Amino acid sequence: MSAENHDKSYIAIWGVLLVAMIVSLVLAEVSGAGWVIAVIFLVATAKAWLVVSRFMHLSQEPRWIKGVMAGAAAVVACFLVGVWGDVALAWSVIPAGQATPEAAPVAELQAGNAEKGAKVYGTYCVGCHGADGKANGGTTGASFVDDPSRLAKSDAEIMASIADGKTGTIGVMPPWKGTLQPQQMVDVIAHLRASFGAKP
Amino acid sequence: MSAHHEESFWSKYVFSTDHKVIAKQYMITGLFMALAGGAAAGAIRAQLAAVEPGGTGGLLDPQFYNSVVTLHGTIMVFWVAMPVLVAGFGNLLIPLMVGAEDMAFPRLNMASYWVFFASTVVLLLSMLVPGGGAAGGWTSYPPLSADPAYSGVNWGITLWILAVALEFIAFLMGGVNFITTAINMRAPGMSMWDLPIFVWEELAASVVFMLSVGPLIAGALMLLADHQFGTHFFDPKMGGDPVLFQHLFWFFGHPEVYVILFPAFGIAAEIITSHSRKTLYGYRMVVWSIIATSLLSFIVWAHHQFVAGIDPRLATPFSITTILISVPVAVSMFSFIATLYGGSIRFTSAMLFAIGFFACFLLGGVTGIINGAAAADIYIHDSYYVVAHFHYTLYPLVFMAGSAGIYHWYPKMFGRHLDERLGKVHFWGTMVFFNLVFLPQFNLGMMGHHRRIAVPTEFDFLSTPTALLMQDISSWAMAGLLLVQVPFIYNFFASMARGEKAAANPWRATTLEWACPSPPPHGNFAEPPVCFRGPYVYSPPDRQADFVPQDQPPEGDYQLPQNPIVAPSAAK
Amino acid sequence: MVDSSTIQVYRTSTGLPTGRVAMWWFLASEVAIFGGLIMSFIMCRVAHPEWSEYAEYTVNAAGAFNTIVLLTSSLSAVLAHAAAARREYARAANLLWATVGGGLVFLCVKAYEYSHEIHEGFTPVTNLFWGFYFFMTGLHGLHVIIGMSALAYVATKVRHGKLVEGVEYAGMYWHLVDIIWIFLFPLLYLAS
Repeated sequence: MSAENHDKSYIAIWGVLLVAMIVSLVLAEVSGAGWVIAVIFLVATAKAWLVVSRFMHLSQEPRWIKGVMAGAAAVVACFLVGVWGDVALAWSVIPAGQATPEAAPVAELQAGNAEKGAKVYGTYCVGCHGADGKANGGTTGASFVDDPSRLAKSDAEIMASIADGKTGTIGVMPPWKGTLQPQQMVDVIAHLRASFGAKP
Repeated sequence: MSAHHEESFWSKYVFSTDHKVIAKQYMITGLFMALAGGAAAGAIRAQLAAVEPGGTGGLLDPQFYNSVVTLHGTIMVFWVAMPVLVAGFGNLLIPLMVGAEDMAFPRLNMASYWVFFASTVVLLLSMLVPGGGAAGGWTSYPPLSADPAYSGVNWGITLWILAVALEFIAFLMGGVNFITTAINMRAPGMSMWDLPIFVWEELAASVVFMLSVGPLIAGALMLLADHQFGTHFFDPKMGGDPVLFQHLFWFFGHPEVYVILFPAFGIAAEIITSHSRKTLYGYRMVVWSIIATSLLSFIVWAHHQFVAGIDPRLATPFSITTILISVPVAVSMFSFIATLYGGSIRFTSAMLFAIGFFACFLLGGVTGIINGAAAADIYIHDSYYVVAHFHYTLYPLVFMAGSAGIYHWYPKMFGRHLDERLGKVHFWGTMVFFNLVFLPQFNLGMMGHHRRIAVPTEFDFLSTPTALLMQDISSWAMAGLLLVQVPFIYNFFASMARGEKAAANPWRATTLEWACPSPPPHGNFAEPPVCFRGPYVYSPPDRQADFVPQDQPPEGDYQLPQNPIVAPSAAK
Repeated sequence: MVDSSTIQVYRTSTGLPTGRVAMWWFLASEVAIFGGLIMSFIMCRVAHPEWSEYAEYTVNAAGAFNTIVLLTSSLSAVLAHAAAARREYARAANLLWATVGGGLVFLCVKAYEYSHEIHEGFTPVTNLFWGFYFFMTGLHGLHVIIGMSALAYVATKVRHGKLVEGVEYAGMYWHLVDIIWIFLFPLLYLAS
């Protein structure tokens, strides 16, 4: 393999990288849709792969070196997977002037299903509010059983507490609008009323 | 093959590129900082003993108490455990155990120590600035730590973050050296399966550190920006996310405890084999357990955040991985115990500390499983149960295994033995007082004693006679624990001049660090050693010998193993 | 006599030069640093759809130009390595200086962008998007400066046939700096 050929192949790869960049640029100008962003990101990954394997010659290194770099990438991936639920899904800020599904009136959803609500409650609510609805004697959250004022509120009020969270005398209830669908919240309210209280 | 160049006092003892000098520098800095960390521990226990029922009494202003607690944790993890176990023993032993003249990059090695030294100075300064030292816990969670209006601390936090960042950079530099030396500078004939377990453990520690610290470097700089420049990375009012910082911290913070664990296990492995004249039971299993622990250590971190308001769907997976990681660690422990079984054990100070380490670490490890079950953790999180758990793991790792290592390799470092009688006083005092300090804290935790509170007796349930008794036992025993380190400190310095002179291989051990004089000269080995066998050939069944060192040529004819040599102009 | 500062070149248990082994490990740690930062950004970006508006104000033309500059400087770096392997040391040194020049152009364009954005009223404290933008590009810029210094140092040495392996190692570092930008460009400029 003569040295000249090597240089030509590097220049060829450089050309491919430039073309890929232009493709990404054009795609981004055309549309801001989610799938386009994903494609652009895939193109970036392909470009990075070209640089790593051809310019840095990772493709010619022994397997264990490839393993080292794959390990670093895997570590980063672990971080993403583990933290995704807490950061990517935790915040849904309402853009100015745009109504969100959470603001839709409760009446437009299906009537609450207490059975489904019990399942949601058992996954997300029971940690603070207790399986018995008593919240460890009202210490870790609102007790629906011991404090009748809680379920005396309207459905819409309770829905707001669930969606946006609440800071009160006992502590801080986190917002669930990033995690629960509105229908799930309606179901939970049905479960609360069926299991712990009387209707308003 | 040693280097011949002129050396002044400064280039020989201060700005030296010799790994043995750098090792001593790290160790002595670490032991000095242990005094500071120990003083902080004494202050904490004194405060907790001095408070009266009803919430009166006490010795320290609560803000200052927070600062003491923060600095105790920070110093012990980053300025004692890391420099003594990882950098100190690593620098000393990796080149010797692989049969090299020095580390792969001696000047980078020296630079790493001086960056570390700078970090130490910055940290000590952080305690002296107006507003006092950092007071947000060693975990420094925002928003508390990011806003001076909340924590009352301004420059203290900034300098604390800078000190930690410098320390990370120092250990990244060191880590490259350790990994490269262990992988690429082994003696001819030494395959990876002939490495002493200590080298495997240091390799794992360096790899885990280098890969896990990245996100926290980013997070620490973001915290600094929030604190000093008014950015909002972790400020919920402006769309930032405090839980993101927790993840960035613990993604490193959990692997970090394994970074501390690995060298300690390695020290123990070296001591129990040589001081019981037995080969390591299940060498390959131990290596696989090190690798498994390293891999798992990256996917357990959120067990520190079970009650932080994380996505509830994370609770079960992280509980599973956390409980799972105890398995490979247990494999190592079982291997060590099986190694001791049937051995011809010599109860030297080093061996006593190694065995004491196993016993105490075991208790720490099993209480970790309880913490790792998310449901149980809801009750005991942030209580003294957790404090007792991590002291039952970290204290044995750093101060028992670390002491064991010092008793074992002091002859190699200084050419003299430590006094064995003082060593036994040190050991028994440590064992008795350590357990008296921390055993009551499991009880206090179950009673509901929250961490990091200056006046627990504000609460009636912590002012009962039992609770006060537990506090008193713990505090008085702490005084004893601190006092019993005095004979050790005296022993360490006095034996440099007056200790019994040491031979090259006083413990009659097999690994290569014993194949050179005590202390080794610059360049270590007169002839580069060649490795002919595995690391722990003690009492071999097939011949009349107590032990067979790694570099002893086999009987009869043999081929000298060759290593490939790369020409100076290494470009392809 | 072998002195310990060059020992890494003369002994290898894996067949690879020690410097290259070290450089791969170092780059792995850099991947973890920037990877953690970039993942944090991606997650916050997903959580804040309104950031797509803010990203409109990054100067796409400047970002695209800078991408071309860095890709070209990566080309010159790898050509420098190939030249050094053929012992064409003068050519290698010149190509390294071209790489350094690329870095300098990159930094000048970045400086222009920063001053433009600050002039428009977008500073690191304006909101979280701009905090990330300045932090990520700033940290990347710091690495560009470090890379330029390393490349310049190697260039002065290699012209006289010394430190030849440094061409490869400094080049590897530079390629990583390029790769980080390959990800930063779509994230900060195009996803809008």
